[in-house]
Amino acid sequence: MGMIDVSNVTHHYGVKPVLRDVSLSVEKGELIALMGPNGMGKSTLMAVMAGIMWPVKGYVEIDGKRRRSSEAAELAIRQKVVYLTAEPWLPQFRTGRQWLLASGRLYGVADDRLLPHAESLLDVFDLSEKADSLVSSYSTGQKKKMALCTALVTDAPVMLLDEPFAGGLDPSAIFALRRILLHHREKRDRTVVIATPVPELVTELADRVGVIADGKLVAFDTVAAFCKRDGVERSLEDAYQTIVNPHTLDKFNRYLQVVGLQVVGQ
Amino acid sequence: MKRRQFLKFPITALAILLMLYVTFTLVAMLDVPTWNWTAVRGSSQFFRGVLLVGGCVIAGALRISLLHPHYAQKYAGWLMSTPWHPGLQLPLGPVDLVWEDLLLVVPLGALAQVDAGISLWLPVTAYLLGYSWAGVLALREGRSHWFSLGLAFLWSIPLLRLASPWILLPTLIAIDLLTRGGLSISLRHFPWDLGDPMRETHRRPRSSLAWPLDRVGPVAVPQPIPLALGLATAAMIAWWVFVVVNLLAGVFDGILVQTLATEIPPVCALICVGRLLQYCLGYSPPISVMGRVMTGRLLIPGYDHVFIAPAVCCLLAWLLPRVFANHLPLQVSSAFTVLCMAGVAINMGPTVQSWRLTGHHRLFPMTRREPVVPKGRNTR
Repeated sequence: MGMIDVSNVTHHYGVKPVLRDVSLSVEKGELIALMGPNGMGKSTLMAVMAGIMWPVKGYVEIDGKRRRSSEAAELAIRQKVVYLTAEPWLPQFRTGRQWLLASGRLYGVADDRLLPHAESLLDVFDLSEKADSLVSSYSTGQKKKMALCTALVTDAPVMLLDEPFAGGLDPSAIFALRRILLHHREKRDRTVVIATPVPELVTELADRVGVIADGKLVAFDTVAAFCKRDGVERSLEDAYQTIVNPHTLDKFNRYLQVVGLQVVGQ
Repeated sequence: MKRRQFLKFPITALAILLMLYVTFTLVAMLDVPTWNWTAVRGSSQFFRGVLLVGGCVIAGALRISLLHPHYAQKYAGWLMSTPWHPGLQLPLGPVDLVWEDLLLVVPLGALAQVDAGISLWLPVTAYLLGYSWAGVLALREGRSHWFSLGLAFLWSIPLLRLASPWILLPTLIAIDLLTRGGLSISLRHFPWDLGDPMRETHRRPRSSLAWPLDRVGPVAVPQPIPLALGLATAAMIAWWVFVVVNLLAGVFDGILVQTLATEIPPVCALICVGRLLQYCLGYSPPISVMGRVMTGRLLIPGYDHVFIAPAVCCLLAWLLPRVFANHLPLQVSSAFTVLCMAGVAINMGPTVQSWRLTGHHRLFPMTRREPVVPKGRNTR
């Protein structure tokens, strides 16, 4: 039994299935990356794991407790899971620091841990100067950084981060987030699921990678095994393209022929 | 025993009240030939009466809110740092009624009687009305409900036609005793949960935490109402319907009262539908209507059970008045219909807690706000 168990999850909003019989298990302390084409079910799967959605079939278990099975189980799960959406909202008329502290307190983090932790996160993400300004005065990137800080300050043992590297982060913030996630992966103290379209980050950060295409989990393996599918050693990007869109290279070459450039691989 | 401080009155509020009162009096004294003088003087006298009675309600409420640490957070914080403990007199003055209260109420009452022709009982009752409700609301969550029901019952007695000074006086004394009991309990449990670091966050509106933390984070969920309390609340609502219809029957003619009474169940049905809004705003069905039809999942029990209680309420609102017509007096039939509807609306499941934590719904943000990060903006 893993820290996160997704069992036979199927979901559709209307008629078209968004998730089809997805099952996966994430061990405690693992960092999992979900990849896949846009609109193919990554965010829906994250939302099902986060409890935003109830799937029409299947279920999700967090640390052995099934989501929405009972009030006590759901409350216990909520205490353990923090979810950052791909498009986070922030309270516009609070200062960043107020929101950060409120979020930490919400998860029961003691003030003697919370205050220095919040301060160091603000420092790492270059937000110290803006911390006492209203969130409405932040730039897009600063808001994204503050949303990331909120997820990190909760000390929740399970972090579900939907596209954490997207949304206007500057190189320093990407570096900081990468280092923080690597640190947690090495310490094995957090179970992290991230959805990201960037193969280089997946190679560096993830223990295992899951690929969702057309609502199905078409691959779920360690990064090394994923790159060596069918016995052929490939880069993660190539391995991903082979699974998700095997005709990408052909399409690209056709494009080059049309614009009169040399075809790749000839 | 150390003598307590002389009671402090809300001077600013009294000054504003006096200023408004003098303004109304001066308007009535002006002699403008174009005005309909009798009407102006009459309405000025009416407004002065309303002002004095309303002032008494506010003075009663301020009496508690200025001196009770529940309302004054800084006062409560300071008290925690002193050796004060329940049983000692509060440093800023007592929250129970004392003889000095008469120094405020009697002049206001006398003024109302002399100037506006209002019975002395009315300002006294108004003062106690503001005082008692502010006192009961000072009880922390969970303890205030039964006191509120007790007060609601006692406050209905003056509205009964049998109310005379001999009934009113013991009723007011009973209200004072009940309020004293509530205040005593609230102070006995001081400092409540002021030391709880989660308190501030839990009491904060969920909207300030932002989506999705405000919904799937470990935020406080409303506790379910115990069955006994739910039934007692429904009974109290029905009792008040009885009292009001009874009062109207004594003042207006029968046809008007009957017309008004027949509107009560539909209005209550609308309020019950309001329960549906409380449940469904931000909690949509997991699949769309088209999805239900096309996939044959017409019913989703885990979601659709939220519609049962409002539907039963609407059915009762339609059915019961027809069943009781010509069999029961109007007051009784209205009250019984409301009793059944309120009983269902308050007590029938799912509870808000169970719905929010275990319902088969899809959460969505309540307010349409621009996302911080526009869709599809990747840095790499």
